[in-house]
Amino acid sequence: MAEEATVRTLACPACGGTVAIRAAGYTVTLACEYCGSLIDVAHPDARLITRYAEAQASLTIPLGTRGSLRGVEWEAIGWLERTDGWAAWEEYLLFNPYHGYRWLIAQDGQWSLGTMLTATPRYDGGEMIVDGRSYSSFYHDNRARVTRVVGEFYWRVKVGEEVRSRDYVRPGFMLSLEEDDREQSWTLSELLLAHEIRQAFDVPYPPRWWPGMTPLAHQPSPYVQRIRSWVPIGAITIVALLVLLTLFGRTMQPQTFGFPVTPDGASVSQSFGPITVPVGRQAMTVETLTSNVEQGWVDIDIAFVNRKTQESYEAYALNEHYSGYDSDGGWSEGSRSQTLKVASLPAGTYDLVVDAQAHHWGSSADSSSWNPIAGRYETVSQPPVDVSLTVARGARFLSNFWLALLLVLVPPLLMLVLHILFENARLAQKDGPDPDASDWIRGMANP
Amino acid sequence: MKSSSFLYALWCLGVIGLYLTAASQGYSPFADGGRAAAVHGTYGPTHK
Repeated sequence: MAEEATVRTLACPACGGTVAIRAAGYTVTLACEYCGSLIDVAHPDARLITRYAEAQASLTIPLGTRGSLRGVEWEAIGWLERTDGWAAWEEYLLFNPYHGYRWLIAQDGQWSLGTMLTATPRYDGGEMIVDGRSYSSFYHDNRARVTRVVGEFYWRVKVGEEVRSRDYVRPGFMLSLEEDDREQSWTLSELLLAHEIRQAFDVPYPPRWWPGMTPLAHQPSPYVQRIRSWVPIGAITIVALLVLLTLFGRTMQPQTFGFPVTPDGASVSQSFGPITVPVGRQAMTVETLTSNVEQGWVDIDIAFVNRKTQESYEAYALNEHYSGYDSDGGWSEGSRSQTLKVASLPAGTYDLVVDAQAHHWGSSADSSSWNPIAGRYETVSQPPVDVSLTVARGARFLSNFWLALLLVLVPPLLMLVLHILFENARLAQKDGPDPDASDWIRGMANP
Repeated sequence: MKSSSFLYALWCLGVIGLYLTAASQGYSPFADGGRAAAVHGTYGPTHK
């Protein structure tokens, strides 16, 4: 019944076609759907305003199409195309007799629903405030000009009509001011989700953003929501990895072996065992300690040799210690102990074969050494170096944890890089300074 | 759960699985042992 009450028809003064006025009582100008002529319907005789040579544009949403957006059925009654000299966009005027007018704005395949504000937004700290939400300035002084028009409108729209515009954005929203010499109007547009506009008016899905494309000024980064939803998953994974690191990193059943090695003497080879790996595969930890090495080093080669298969699992440690005195005072460097971790020894009985050779930093066993009490180098005979090895089953591989952590973080970091690229491309259109880290973080704010 | 979250959760499960397998086998790609030729470093102090 409401539809019957609002729809009226008139005869086009140009072609005589019967044209329906869908928002009778509100519509001021109307384009004939047959010949494209613009008619002044406010005039009692439906005066012809202008005649378009071109046929009615082929619209993504044909005028007269109805669609439900957020629980309200809207009818597309007017369409116009505008440009600011850089970009062009389309605006569909939607009408519902109970809810009035809305704008459906299409640009680069993205759709926004615009609502005209009845109150002027508040200006605070360089930002506009509407309903407690702040909108930052994006475009300062643009001029939007109508290039094509079809359908019904509530003002006398014509091609070439130009307004000054300013735009303020927050992720997902754009607040636009349009003004001319007579009036100001504020419109709040919300970017529609792909499935919303698709369900309402059966339009193609918006294109997915890829690096190199220019997003809309108010288009929220598609990667923010992804990063947010991944944070708890990543956190749970990291906690699980820490638990596993604790559970699997313990060493057990340590055995200690030792022998002396003469500095600059022959290599000493010793065999210790048996060392048993009961089941499966297991890592071994070997701590090599040369507590009395001084001004020299000890090469320690170790090998776990399987008694049955003679398979060998080898590792090498270099224990060294040096000290001295110079104009800055005493110094020392090197480490007298090393921890070796040998991976994946199969089950079996092993001998630990150790080859150690000690060296003194100098030419022979009798060489000079710094005496800090006497304040000079003195020739001393080098005592044997005690080599001690502690072998234990199991090993805590921190490197595995860091590698797993890196793998867990790679996808969110990739999304973060894409987010930064997206925000840089979006903010490159902004009037003002170049984007920086604060802009990237701001782009992650809640819509 | 969105498909991207599901895929990421699957990825994380895979990482945990790999870590668990390596831990149970006592394996690490960065272990000291098993290297065929141990790299002997330079000897002597580097102090100037």
